[in-house]
Amino acid sequence: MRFREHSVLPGFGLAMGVTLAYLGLLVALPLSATLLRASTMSWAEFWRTVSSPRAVASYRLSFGLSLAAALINAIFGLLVAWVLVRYRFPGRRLADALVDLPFALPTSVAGIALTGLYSPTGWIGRLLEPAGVRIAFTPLGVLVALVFIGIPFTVRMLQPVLADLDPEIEEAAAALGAGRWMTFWGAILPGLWPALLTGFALAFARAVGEYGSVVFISGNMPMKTEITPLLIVTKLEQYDYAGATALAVAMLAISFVLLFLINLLQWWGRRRHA
Amino acid sequence: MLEKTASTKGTTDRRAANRGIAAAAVTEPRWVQAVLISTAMSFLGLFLVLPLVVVFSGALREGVRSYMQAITDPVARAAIRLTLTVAAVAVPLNVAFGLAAAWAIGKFRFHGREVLTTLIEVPFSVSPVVAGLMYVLVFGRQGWLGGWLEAHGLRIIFATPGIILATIFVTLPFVARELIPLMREQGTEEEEAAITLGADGWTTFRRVTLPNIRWGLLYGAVLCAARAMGEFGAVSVVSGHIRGVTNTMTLHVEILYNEYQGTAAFAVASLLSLLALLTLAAKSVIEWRTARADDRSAEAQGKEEA
Amino acid sequence: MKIEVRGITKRFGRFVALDNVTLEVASGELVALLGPSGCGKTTLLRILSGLEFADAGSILLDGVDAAGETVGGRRVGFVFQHYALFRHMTVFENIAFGLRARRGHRLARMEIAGRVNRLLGLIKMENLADRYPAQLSGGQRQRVALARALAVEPRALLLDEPFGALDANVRKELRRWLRRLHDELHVTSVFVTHDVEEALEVADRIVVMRGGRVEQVGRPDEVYEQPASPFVFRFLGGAAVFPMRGPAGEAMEQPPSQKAGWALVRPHDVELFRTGDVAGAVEALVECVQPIGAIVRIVLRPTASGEAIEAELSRPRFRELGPRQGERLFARPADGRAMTWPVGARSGAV
Repeated sequence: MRFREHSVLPGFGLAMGVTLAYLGLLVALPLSATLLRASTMSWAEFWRTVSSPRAVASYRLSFGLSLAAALINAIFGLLVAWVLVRYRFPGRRLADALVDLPFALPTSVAGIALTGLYSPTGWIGRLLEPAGVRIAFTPLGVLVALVFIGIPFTVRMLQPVLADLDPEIEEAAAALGAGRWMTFWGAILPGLWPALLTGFALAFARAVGEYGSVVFISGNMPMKTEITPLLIVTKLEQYDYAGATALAVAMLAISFVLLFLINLLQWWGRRRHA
Repeated sequence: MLEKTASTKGTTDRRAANRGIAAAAVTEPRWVQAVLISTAMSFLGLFLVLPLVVVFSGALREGVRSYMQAITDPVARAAIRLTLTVAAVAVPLNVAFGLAAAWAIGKFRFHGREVLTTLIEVPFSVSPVVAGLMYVLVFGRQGWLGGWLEAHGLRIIFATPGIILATIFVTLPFVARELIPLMREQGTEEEEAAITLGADGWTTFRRVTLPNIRWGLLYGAVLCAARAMGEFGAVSVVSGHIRGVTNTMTLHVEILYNEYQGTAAFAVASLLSLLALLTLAAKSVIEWRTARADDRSAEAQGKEEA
Repeated sequence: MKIEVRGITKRFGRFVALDNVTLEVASGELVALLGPSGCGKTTLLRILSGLEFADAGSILLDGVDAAGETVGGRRVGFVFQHYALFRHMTVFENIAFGLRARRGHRLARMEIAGRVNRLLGLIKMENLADRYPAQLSGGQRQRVALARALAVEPRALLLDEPFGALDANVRKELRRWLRRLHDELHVTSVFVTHDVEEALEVADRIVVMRGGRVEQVGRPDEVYEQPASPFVFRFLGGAAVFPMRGPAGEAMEQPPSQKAGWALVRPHDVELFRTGDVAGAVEALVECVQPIGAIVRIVLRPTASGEAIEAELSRPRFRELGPRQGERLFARPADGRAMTWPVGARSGAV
């Protein structure tokens, strides 16, 4: 078998060369530098760093809250996508465009805006203070930030799938006597699973690595509201390169597992679609 | 994923409009619709609109004059200049890369095409902080090339080149992932036709391929530019936070905020927010245009079938 | 331009698309490559154009080996099945593309405009010059694609299923137009089709292909009247199959060397009788009667097992005979119209 099929179009060598050189220089080189750096540590040293109580607490916070945020995003994302695709109402187009805001807004801006909103003196924080509910500088604040940055993922994954749903399926279900809820649960939702799960995984992956929008609202208290990326930054600022690298490698491993899972989910979705 | 599906959203709207009648036969009662719409909109209002309002009201809370002062401050101006410089380098490079990658992957069939496509998406799944750290480990004083760079009096980390490199990494996939499916979908027939008519490779690319992908290219470039100017985590790790020298706008916002200069922080943040809103507007316009082009050809096709 | 194809073989992975194909197209000829899908006809056309390369064999254009020539250098016009019009260019710009793109001998602006306008006249689309492809009907797109290929004054014109994507009426009109155009311009042309009627009507000569090989080459009446194989017989115009019995069974005209085998005959050459006293007739039951416009198709099932026989009767003969479903009739090939093959020959199922 040849490496590639024949084509009369020119420029494959040049385009491929540029692509591989660029990826090699900007992605492969830094990645391997990181892995090499980690490999100079002894296993015991590495393990001590990544399993220190402070690190474990940061994982628990990062993963637990990312999972919760992705779940909230899945539920509300489905609702938002449904409403935007199915119903016509004033402001729909504006809302549709605005869904991508978390993506376009710099994370540090999002961070200070959310902090301003939820701090005890902020518009929402002030309302909750008398009830004894604190959001900023608690894990709840981190959750709010993670929900914010994850909004577009499920909505944008679900919209095309919802729009492509064959109306005949619903009509058939209705003709068979199913109510709306039954139709949704039995005839519509099963078709949405791949997109919903992919959106969930994407939101989760983004939340785990998020830094900018969280650091302002979290308060950054070790063991309490310190997420893993922040711990890496802290170690760097203390010139603990080895410690930072160990944590980074742990996070990279998780990122790649997630990337693989997301690709698997999308492959599943395409196969179901075909 | 996100951007890819967003670009098909224009057609989504049209399809949704087409199904209007069919959907009318099976839909929810009016009051259920009202409840669902208001819940969804409250969610978006709470999480998206309110933060925006906070930024602008925070910026103007001490009047227009202090607002102007905050954004014309020399340090702020230096930050704006640096942010624009970074974007001006990172975006063209990633556009060139995106074109090359899409040409190779979209127009040719070879082994490992899928793997390469996935590889291009890697930067999106790496935490920005880890991305910054990776570059520190290559170019930093303790890094692989640190000794060599220092001996030659070159600085990358804690200087502009490092900020540019980290930004390129974080925004690397935007153009490529927009163009790869587009080029693949458009196939090679038009290019082959141009070649049979005697056009050379460069002419074919410039006069046939490029006009066909121009909206996708613009779309990718807009997203790339927005992220390049808004990146925080990766840049924060490699910048060193030297005031007026290695501070981008996002880092400047952080510093001002941490120094309790809330109004000034929100003022600079409001500029970035405007940029974000502009991005969303540009995105919507491009989606609307491509949807309309789709409609036109679908219409012509329909005429022919009739 | 004269085209010679010598021993061309092409594989895609393990699939053999072309198997040692040899062929000649005379200068000024209009040749059809005809065959079922997957027979290799499009691959052959793409190899002629230089869009694809053969694994073995050579192509000679006007006696010169084309191996070293690029697609652009061969100066052959290629019309794609789905036209491949440049969607962001107007009709005018599409046709002018080749004149503007060719390096070295670029034409003056006025000259280009003059040539494009002449071609627009030729395809009768002068008033649509500023339209975009998306605003044209299928037939119009097809004509623009043709004009675009002709603009560079190609030495030969290659057309891949030129009418494949059009509906029946436009198709008929366009293929007559193509024939007239060819008679006017005399450009050596090769077109690919799977439509027998199209090939018979338009081409000077037909190359019938199957499974990557050439089955027969000949003028339309040759391949229709004297098919070289059961496959060609069946593919062009269909066939009824008559089993031939041994000499004892009073078979129809039969070469002495063949004891048994089959005879193929065109459905319109099947004669039907009410009585069985006709030499060589086969007893059969009428399975169904389908009037199709000018003719009536009768499907019969021979009583002594065998493949169903399809016969086509003219309206007058049908009225005369008046066959009904379930009736017993006798069928035989019209005198001298059957072709026989021995038992061992491939039945030629299409």
